[in-house]
Amino acid sequence: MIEAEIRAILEDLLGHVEEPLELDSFALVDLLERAERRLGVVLPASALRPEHFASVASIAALFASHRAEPCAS
Amino acid sequence: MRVLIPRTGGVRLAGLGAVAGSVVRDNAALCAAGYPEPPAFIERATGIRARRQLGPGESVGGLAARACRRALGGTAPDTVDSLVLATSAPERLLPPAATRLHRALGLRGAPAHTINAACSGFVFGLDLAARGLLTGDACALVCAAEARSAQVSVTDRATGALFGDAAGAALLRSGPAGAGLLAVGTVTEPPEEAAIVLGRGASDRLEMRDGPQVYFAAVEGMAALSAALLEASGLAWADIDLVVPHQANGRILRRFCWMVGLDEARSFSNLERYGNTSAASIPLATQEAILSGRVGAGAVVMWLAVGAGGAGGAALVQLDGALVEAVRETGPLPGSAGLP
Repeated sequence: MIEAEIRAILEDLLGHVEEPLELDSFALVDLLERAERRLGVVLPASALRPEHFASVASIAALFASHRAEPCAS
Repeated sequence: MRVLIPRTGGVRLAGLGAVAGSVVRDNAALCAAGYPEPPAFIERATGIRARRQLGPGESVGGLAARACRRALGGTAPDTVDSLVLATSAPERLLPPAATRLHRALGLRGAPAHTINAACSGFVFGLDLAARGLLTGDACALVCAAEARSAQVSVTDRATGALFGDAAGAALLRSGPAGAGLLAVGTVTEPPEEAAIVLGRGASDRLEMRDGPQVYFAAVEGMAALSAALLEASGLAWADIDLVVPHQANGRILRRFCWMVGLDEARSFSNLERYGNTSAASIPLATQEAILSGRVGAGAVVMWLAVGAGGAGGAALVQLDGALVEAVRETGPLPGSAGLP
């Protein structure tokens, strides 16, 4: 379900999804913020590592690992 | 965070002045000069439509002197007991930038401190000057002056569209406790690996690594600083009339409001017209907030900044009527008419 959300956001942002993902920082911030709002997650900066951003699955795993935690604010 | 709350004596904000470079460079001009994305992208990604940059014959030291003169108003320079200049863009390393500003202003004997706390420099300078005022000084001048646009490459997608050049200054006087400066906090938490780097050689350009992490960390830092300062001062968000954050990037400012649950209308931004002017952005934005009528006498303003190297600062200042009148008498920034 999270993967589908991430994929949908990427398609909306980029028009296509090609892996391995090569997102520049602006697109990455767009993606992360949209996903935060859709999934109700606030990602901590310390969680953002380049290895998380290579694929839809790894981004989804990042969100899944923080989804159970209470939001920072 | 180390917090200073004046209790036995006070620090009054007696003057405020800011100026910006005379060249208005909009997004179209930047793209024509080689920025690798269209103007609409820049505006969407950063919130910036134009920035002010140094023009022919202008210098960061010159901007600093002009900002200080605006802040001084009718105050005689030889009555200033201490000068703090925050800059990460000095024209020379020696003599220290503050000593050249000291000479340009005609100060007499006052110690001149040059500091570099990146984008948090103005708040760090405020902290230093306030401590002097609480231990014997009567009058202090704090200035932040930056010319970051010359330190980036216009072709760098990450940084090439962000920066403008400006200087801002505040005149501080000792005064009664409980008014003026209500609290100031500063902290340094250097990251394991520096994400914003400049200065390995004469031809070096600023590098911003790991942009998303910098972006998220900046907002987290702002949220933590503001919460810590409010708690230390016994105030709540409801007591703050306006937040004037360092004008880093429009998206950072919006995310900060979202994270702390603050209505964006209570956070001031002039980023779209000036770009990110680093340490100068807080006094520059505060001057505009006063001139535009967003805040007036009695308003409690929160200044908030995080910057390279993990330097962060926040302050709570209550504006008084004399300051508001002085800023309005000084008038708008030179060259600000007709900006987009």
